[in-house]
Amino acid sequence: MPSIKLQSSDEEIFDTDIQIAKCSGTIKTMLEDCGMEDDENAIVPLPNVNSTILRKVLTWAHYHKDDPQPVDDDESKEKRTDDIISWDADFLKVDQGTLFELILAANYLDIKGLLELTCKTVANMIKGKTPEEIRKTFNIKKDFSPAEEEQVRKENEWCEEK
Amino acid sequence: MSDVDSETESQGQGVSALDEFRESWQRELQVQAEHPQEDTRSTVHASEADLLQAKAESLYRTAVQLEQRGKVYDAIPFYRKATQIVPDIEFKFYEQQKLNNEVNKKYHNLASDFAKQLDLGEQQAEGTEGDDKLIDNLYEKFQHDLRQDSVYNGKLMASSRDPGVLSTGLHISDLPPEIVMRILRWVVSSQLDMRSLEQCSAVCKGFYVYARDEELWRLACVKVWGHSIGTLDAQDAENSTVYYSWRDMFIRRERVNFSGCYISKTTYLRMGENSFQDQFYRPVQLVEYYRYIRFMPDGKVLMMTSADEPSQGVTRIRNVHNIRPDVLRGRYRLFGDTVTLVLQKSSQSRATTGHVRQRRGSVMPLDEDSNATQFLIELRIGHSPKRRCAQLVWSHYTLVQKRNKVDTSSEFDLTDAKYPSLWFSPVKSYHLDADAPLV
Repeated sequence: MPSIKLQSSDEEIFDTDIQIAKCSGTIKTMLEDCGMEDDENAIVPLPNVNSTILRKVLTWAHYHKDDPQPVDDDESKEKRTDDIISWDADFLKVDQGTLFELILAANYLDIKGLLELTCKTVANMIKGKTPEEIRKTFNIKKDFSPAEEEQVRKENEWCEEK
Repeated sequence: MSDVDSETESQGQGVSALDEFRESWQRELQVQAEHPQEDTRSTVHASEADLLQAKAESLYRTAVQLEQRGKVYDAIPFYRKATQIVPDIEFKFYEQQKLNNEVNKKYHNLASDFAKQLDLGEQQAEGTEGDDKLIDNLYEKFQHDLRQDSVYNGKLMASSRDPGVLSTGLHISDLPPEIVMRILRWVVSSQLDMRSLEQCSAVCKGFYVYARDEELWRLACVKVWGHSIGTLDAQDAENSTVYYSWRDMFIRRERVNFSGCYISKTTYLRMGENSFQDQFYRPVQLVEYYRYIRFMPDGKVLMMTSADEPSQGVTRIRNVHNIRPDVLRGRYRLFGDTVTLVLQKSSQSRATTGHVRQRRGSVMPLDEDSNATQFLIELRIGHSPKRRCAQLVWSHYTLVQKRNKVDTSSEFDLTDAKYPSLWFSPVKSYHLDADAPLV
């Protein structure tokens, strides 16, 4: 199996299966456009990803390497096994900072599956919460003046649960 | 607004142009009648072609207006007629519109520039007057604030963490805007959980700006009204409402609620059989059942009647992929303040017909719905003082049975006792987890 060397921002080298590395759109384009595929000793620098995160991303890519391409179909959604979902859930048991770093890495490396998964995880941390709970969850400072807060509340009155 | 103006203008022009054509044509006809020998064939031909094009144009214009009002299906025959007369009417129409627009543009630009200047002046005046006044446009004010304040450091959210404490973890404000929007699409999700989005907008100024994004609200409107969405300023002719934004349309226009289900309770007395031994004993049975209707944003709908109390009943239609066979499935469409449902017995029965077909090994494809029963329901959307679109009142209920390709339909008698209106009750567990991002 041909492999490729990936270099993280803190200059750690990851010897990676080329098939796994290619789940990243960014790396795939780099390899194909620069003709690095045949060069065994080529090193792909990834200055935006540190080694901790890159290791994590590669673990995810390894587990999902045999995933079928996503199909927009009702049937396929149902068939998706809970096995994968629970693995992903375990995989994402990380602190918030790491989760955001994973999002940024998935975005930079252009790994669609991981980006969707991480965004969905953050969304589920938001869904169904009150504004105060959201502020607490993400350490966000309330910067409204009392008048502004009241006006926003009025604007949003239509969907208040009574 | 400018669109409406130019539209009505061009419509006026179109009508008058058409009238002119008619007049001139009739004049020509008269001339022809008076001097049949003098006329040359070519002029007749030309004027006829012109007339046809004018006719096609007016048909096309009607179609465009219908579509803008959200009546796509009504518009299609007009488009068809127009293209039958002049096949490339679309391009001709477009060229003409462009000409008209270019003429109008100059004036419109001037007007909007002027309006902008006025706006700025107003805002400045407001700022000096004081904070207790209602702010006209929170969106613009917050955007302005976020740019001005140095607290934000070029980001849209401020961290509540103590700046004295060293922290290596990233903050949500470190995410680029396109990622935050991606997350919000997951928050809304295909369930159209706009309530969660509104909660976001009340978190801080940055989230307010994100959550008021028009594209999110437009996508939600497209999901709700589909083909008949229309535009913000050209709605159904009977109530020509102007919506200020897609969010405004989502809030004010009649629709169904998705974050729960509509429930009605039917109670009636039924005489039981007389006792064999005691002629004076007349048992009376109290019949009590609930009707549940749950709408999904993708146009699907579930209906179930059951004796279960709502606390259990709502859970039976929670999982859309795992529905019991006694639940009716179907699709719905919104039109004005009515919602039309077409329902059928669940796929269970269809699966069995498929099975029969296989066993018979018939070459002829059996029409799957040949013996199907369809329920056609029309409900009027009403409001409660607490919540918009919380009430559904029965207006039609028809049963259509297909037997040997013959439809027999029977109308139900919608007495208030047997068909009380349905009331919405929110069910939290329906929207717990995002299933797919809003697209």
